Amino acid sequence: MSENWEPKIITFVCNWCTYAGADLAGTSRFKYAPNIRIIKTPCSGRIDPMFIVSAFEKGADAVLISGCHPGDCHYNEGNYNARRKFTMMKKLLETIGVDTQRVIFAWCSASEGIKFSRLVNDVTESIKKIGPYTEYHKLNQKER
Amino acid sequence: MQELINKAKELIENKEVDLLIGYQSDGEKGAKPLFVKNPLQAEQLIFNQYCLNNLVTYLMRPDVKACKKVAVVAKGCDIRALVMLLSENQMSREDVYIIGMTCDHVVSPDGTGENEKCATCKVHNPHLADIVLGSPVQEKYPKDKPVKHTQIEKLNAMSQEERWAFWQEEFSRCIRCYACRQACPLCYCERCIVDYNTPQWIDTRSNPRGNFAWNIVRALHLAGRCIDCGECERVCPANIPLMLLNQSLQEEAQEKFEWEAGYDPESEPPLTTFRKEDDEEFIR
Amino acid sequence: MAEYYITQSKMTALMKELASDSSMEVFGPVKKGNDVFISKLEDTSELCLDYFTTVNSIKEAIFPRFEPILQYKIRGEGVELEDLPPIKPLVVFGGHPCDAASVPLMKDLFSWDYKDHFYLQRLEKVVIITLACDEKDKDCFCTSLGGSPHGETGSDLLLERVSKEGWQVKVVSDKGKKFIESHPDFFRDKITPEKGYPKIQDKDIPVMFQLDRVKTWIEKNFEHPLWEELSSNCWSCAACTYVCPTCHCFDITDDATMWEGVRTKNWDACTLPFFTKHASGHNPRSQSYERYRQRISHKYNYYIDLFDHVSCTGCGRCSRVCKAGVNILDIIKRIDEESTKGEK
Repeated sequence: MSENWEPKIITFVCNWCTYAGADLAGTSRFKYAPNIRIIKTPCSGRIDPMFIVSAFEKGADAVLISGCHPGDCHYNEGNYNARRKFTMMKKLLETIGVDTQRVIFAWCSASEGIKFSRLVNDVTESIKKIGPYTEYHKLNQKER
Repeated sequence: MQELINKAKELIENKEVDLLIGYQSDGEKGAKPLFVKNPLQAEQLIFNQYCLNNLVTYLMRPDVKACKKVAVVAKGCDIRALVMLLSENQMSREDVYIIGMTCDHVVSPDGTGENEKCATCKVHNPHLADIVLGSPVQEKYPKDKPVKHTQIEKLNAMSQEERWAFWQEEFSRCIRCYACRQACPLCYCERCIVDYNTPQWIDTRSNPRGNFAWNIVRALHLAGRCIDCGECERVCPANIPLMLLNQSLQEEAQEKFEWEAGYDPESEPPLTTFRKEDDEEFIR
Repeated sequence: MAEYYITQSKMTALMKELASDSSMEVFGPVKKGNDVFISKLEDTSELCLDYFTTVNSIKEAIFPRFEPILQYKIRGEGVELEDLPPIKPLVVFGGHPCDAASVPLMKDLFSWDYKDHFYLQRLEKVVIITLACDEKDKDCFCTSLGGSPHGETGSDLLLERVSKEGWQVKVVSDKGKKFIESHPDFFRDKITPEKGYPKIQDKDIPVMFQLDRVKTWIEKNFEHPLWEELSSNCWSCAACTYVCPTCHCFDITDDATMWEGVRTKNWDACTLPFFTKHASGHNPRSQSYERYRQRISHKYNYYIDLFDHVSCTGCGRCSRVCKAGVNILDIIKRIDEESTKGEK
């Protein structure tokens, strides 16, 4: 790991809560680490396991997924479905030996600008400690 | 089994079904599927402990779906798949005539012992059928007791790094033949995620990247749906212990959602529903 | 032809030595569970020498499951083509004559309308060490296609078991000769075969059908209902295709980011449902029996028209690996039987 290495944290956020929360963090000038790459989805229920797999395949060191608190989903139930899917995703990734410290789920509402910035800073800090996810990146063999 | 042959002939002769899918003898290899369209073919039908195939997998094949009505010879474990197909609205109850066969256990002809799934079977006697053939078998596993798989305990005891190394070794032999997908009764998507190329979700190369992605996604698309028939592992030409992945999710579904797939056609599969109190300890 | 003798332990030691040489690639038999696979050997690999036959064939040594054919990076102004990894010398040990016999067949195909230098370069660099057969099973039928459990076609060295401890080594080609000359310490003078060897002869695998009758029937009966009956069990995976020593279809896929990319040649199978799906959405082989008919016709009819040889070596791997109960020998025998009925 070079001196200048910075974690790349792909962050999937729902449009209505967490994206707005991130926006609030920005307008309120709460500082947070620049290591996240935000991908906006309409709802946390849109999250597919392929998103996590693809992110790691393409070089992510961690994946952060955040949506509305249960009960507050803009589409009423999306995050309830998401919650069950996340349970399954986490279990399978654990079973297969993926480093689950690198897959983080959160609920962050539109008013939680502070929570968002703290979350990003905490996650960035912990990923900095454990280093790049080279084990996953090494899977991308071009020849046998 | 004369009763089976007679019933098959009756269904075909009365034109009650266009096609009957059962088993025939495969010599030293035990048994293999048989597609019966006329009474003469029905004479070859058998049923014994070598009838391993889950014939329900054929029900979603386009040419079989096109039949007016199909009869299928099925063990309790196979019927679990049918129950899932019904609860996922992939077919109507009237489209299929279920010939349920009581079954004590199935075994590989090469003598590798009783299938692990049989030790925890709750449906030796078919739980959904139009007719049940064979003498009743004593149910040994309590219906309300969660199924405990033993093979996965060894995997669960490993550290994360050990598990990663384990699967790297196993998937190095994966040739991406998709026998696991084709044999699985619940992999019925007309166009599988691996067949998409805009975007190419899953790398089609049989390198570690592609193999991990394929096996992770297939297991997750079966989350809450896998009925533990074990066909994927049995048909894998590379001897990869695929059931470990499916069983880890079965156990999670049991623990978190009190769910076991394929017993009650009225019940709602866990990922189609939710409870307000679902676990979210792991969510910040 | 020159003959030598090598013991099992010497062969194992030789393979281990070659496997630890990173300038070459070595393939050999490794056991996993109850089955043996031809796998790429690392210096830590445990060689298995006690087996009837391997699940897969030696094909993947010379025709990799995936290989890069083009690599590039985008730097500054333009695209920079990168060198592909060099093709290393190859040693493949542990296949049977039915494996080696596939090599000239593949060579014909890959030097036909386009000279596939990826295959041909590997072929040039490979030394094929074949084990003649000591056993056969109901799925073997090499003799029906002009092969033999002691066939030399395609091999560089053919190892005939002559004692419990080792094999007589027949030098079939110059490459085989050079191989022995580079590793002289492992090989001894030939011995007198012990009593009871070879364990099987050609006559132990009787010819079970007449190939020319089968080809003619296939030529004349594209629409025959027998095709659907014979292949009704097939669930359209690619297990048979991928373990087959002669199946050679491939796909070309790209994987790229904004800054770099690789184009790969990847195994493909005509048995898979979308093999012939057109961009329009139409699929001329949308049913599994149509795909299976194609598979048999390609091997037993079209290939003969093009290259004067059947594209099958009678190894039986497809039948052994198929858990849907599709058995190629049963099917060919049935076609042969059908061909003797009436005019057609």
